[in-house]
Amino acid sequence: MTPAISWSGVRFRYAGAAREALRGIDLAAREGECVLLTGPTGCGKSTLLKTANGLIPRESAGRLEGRIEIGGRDAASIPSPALRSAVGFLFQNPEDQLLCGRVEDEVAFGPENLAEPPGVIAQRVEEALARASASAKRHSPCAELSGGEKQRVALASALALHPRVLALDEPTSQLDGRASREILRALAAMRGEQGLTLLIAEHRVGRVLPLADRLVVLEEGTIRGVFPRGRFGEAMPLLRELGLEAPGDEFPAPHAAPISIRAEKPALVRFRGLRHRYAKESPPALDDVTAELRAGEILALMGPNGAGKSTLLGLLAGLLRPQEGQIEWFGQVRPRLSLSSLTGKVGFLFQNPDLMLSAGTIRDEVALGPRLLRRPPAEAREAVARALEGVGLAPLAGRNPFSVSRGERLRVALAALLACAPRVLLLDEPTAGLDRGLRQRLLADLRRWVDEAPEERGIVLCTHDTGSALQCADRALVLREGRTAALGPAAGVLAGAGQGALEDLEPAPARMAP
Amino acid sequence: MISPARAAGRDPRFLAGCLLAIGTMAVALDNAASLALLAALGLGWALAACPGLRALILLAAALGLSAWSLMASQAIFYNHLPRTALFVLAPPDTPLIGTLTGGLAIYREGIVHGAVQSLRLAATLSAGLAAAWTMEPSGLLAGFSSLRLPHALAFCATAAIRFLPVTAEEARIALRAQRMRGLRLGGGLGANAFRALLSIARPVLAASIRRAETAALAAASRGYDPSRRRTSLHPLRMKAWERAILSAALLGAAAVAAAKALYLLYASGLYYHPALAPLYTFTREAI
Repeated sequence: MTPAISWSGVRFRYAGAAREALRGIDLAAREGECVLLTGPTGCGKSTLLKTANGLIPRESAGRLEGRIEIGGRDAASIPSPALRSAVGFLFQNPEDQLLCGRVEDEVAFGPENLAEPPGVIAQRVEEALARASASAKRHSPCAELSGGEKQRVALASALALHPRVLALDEPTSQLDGRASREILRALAAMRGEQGLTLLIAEHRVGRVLPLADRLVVLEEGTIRGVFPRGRFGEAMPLLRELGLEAPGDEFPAPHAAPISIRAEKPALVRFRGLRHRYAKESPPALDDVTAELRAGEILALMGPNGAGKSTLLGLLAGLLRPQEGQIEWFGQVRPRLSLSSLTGKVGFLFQNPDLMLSAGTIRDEVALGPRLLRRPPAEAREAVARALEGVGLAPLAGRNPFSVSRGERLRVALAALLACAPRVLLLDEPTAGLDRGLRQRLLADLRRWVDEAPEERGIVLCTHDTGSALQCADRALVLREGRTAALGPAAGVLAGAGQGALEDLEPAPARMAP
Repeated sequence: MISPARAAGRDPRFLAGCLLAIGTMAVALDNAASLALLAALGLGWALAACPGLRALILLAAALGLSAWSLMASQAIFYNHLPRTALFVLAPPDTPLIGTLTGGLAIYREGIVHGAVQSLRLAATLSAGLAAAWTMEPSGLLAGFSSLRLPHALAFCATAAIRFLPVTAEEARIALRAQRMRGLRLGGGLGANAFRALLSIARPVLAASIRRAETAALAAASRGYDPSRRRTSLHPLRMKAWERAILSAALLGAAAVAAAKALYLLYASGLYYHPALAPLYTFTREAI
C-alpha cells in the first residue's frame, strides 16, 4: 500500500548553517496513521515537518537532498498550491499564524487562495469549523479568542484545504492545560477519519502519546528510534537519555524546608483582598485574592488562561493599580505602588524574554541594569560576572543575545534581572516551550538562587506546568476566574490537578499513563 | 450569505471612494462655510462609526490638538496683508527677537486662517478614522484586489493592520521591562526618552521580524501565492445606497475641482469665457 507520505534519504542544510538540520531521514506514514515526532530542542523535528508541505525548501533558503513523496508522487513535481492543499500545517504559536480579522475569513483564506468558488469556500469553512469544534466562533473577531480557541481556528484553517496529511508543530506548547486538552480532543476526534494522516512534533510526549500509533525519536537530524503502539515503553530509556519527558517519570522532589519553618520567616510581599477589573462592564479579572510570599519561598501561581495570573503579577510589580485591597512589600504598605519604587528590588521576567533584550552582547545586556541603577563600577562588574556564572552563560558573554537559542535567551533575561540584585523575582511562564532538559536546568537555577539567601529572597513563579511547580515550588496559589481556587503546600494542592476545582490544570506528571 | 458581523464592515471600494472625494474637496475648497460643512460631514461619519469612548477621546484629542497648533502657529506667523494685531508679544525694538523678526504679535487674520486650515484637516482626519473603524482588515485584501493593486502589497497592508495591536503591546512590555531595570523616562531634555526609544526598538523589531516570518510561512502553507488569482468567500457587492452616495460624492468632488480649476485659469489670466461668469462668481464666494 502506498504511504500517505514518505521521506527517503532526506538531508537538509539551512543556508549558511555549519551542519545539516536533517541527516538522512528515512520514514513513511500510512493513511490514517498518527505519528508522534519528538526529540530535544534543535533535533530537526520542525524542519522535517516543513519538508512535508514544501515550506522547506521552497520558502527557506537551503539545500535539500533525497526524495519526499506525497501519496506516491514526488513532492518536488507537485505545484505549490496542490502541495499545500495535500499537506496542511499548524504552527506552534496560535497568535502569529492567524492573518485575518475574523474567524470565518481566516478559515476561508486557504480555499480563497486555491481560487475555489464562493459556494465551495462557504461549505469548506462550515465543515472545517465543525471538525475543529470551533463552529460557535465562526463570526468572532480572532483577537477576542482564547489561546486554545485560536489554535482550533488555525486547525480549522488547515483542514479547510482538505489535506490528506496534517503536520502539527508543537500544537500545545503555548497553551494551558485546558486549551491543550481541547486541541488534543479535536485531534483525537479526527484521528483515522477519512484517511487523514497526522504528523505531530512535540517534546511533551506524555500529552500526545495516547493519540499516537508510532513514536519517532530524533536527535541531531537523525532518527534514533521508531516505536509502534504497544512498544512505547521501550522508548522510555532513550527519552531519558536525551533529557526528554518520559511519561510516568516523577519529577525530582523539591528540597524545600518544611512549611512550618518557612511560616516563621517574614513576608516579602503580602496582598489582601485584591480586586481589579479592566472595564466597568467586564467581570473582575481579580476578585478578593489574599496571599503572601515568604522569604526563602517559591510560590507557584497557577490557573488557566484568563484566570487572573498576569493581572496579579502586574499589580505586584506596580504595572497596574489595585482598585481594592492592599499590597505590602517588605513590610511596608504601598498605597501608590509604582514601577520606580520597586526598581532594583523586584525583577519581572516577562513571558516573552526576547522583549527584554536590547544590547549588542550578552555581557552588555546583563550589565545594563546595574548601570541604569548607578551601582558602583566594581560592584556592578562583580554582579554581572556572578549573574552570568549563575546561569551558566559566562562562555557566551561576548555573543549577541539574539544569536543564541531560546533557552539561552531566557537565561540571558534571567541573568539581566539577577545582576540588579533583586530580593524577589516575578516570573511569567518562564518554562513555556522549553524541553525537559532546559526546563529542569532553569528550575534548578531558580531553586538555587533562593536557597543561597533564604532569609532575603523569594520567587513568584507563574506557570501552567504542574510538573515545574511540583519540582521547585513550596506553595501553590491556584486562581480560577479571578478568585482563589486553592492555596497551600504545592504537593498537597497539585495532587488534585486536573480534577474538581482544579480541572483546568494539567494533571501531575506522576499520574500520566505511560 | 454575508455574516451579520461582516455586514457591519463597509465595502472597501466605497470607503476608498468616499475618502478620495472628501480629500479632493478638502484641498479644493477655500470658503470657510463650505469647509465647515465638509468637516461636519466628516465628523458626522466618524461619530456614527465610532466604536467606543476611547476612540471618541482619541478623535477629540486629535482634532483639538491639530486645530490648536494650526491656529497658534498661524496667529503668530501670518504674513499676508492686511493683518490686525490683537496682542503684541514682542515690539520691533525688542533686543534680538524684535530686530530679527520685525516684532511678534497675535494676528486676528492668522487665527481665522489657522481655523480654516484646521477645518481641512478635521474633514480628512475624521473621514480617515471613520473608514479605519468600519473597514474589516480582511476586506482590504479583496478591496485592493478588485482595484487591481498588487496582491503582495494588499497582503502586506492586511497583515500590518492585523498585527499592529500585537506590536503596540510588545512595545509597551519592552518599555516596562527596561523601566523595571532602572530606565528613567523623565528629565535630560528628551535624552532619556530617546534612549528608551532605542532600547525598545531592537527587541520590538526582532519580534516583528520573527512574527512576519511566521505569518509569511503560515500564508504560504495555506496556498497563498501573490502571483495567482484568488477568489473570496464574500465577493464584493456594493449596496445600492453605497453606490448612490459614492457616485454623488465623486461627482461633487469632480465638480468642485473643475470649478476651482476654471476659476484659477480665469484668475491667472490664462482662460476666460463670458458664459462662465456666474460660475466664477459662485466659486469665488462659495468654493
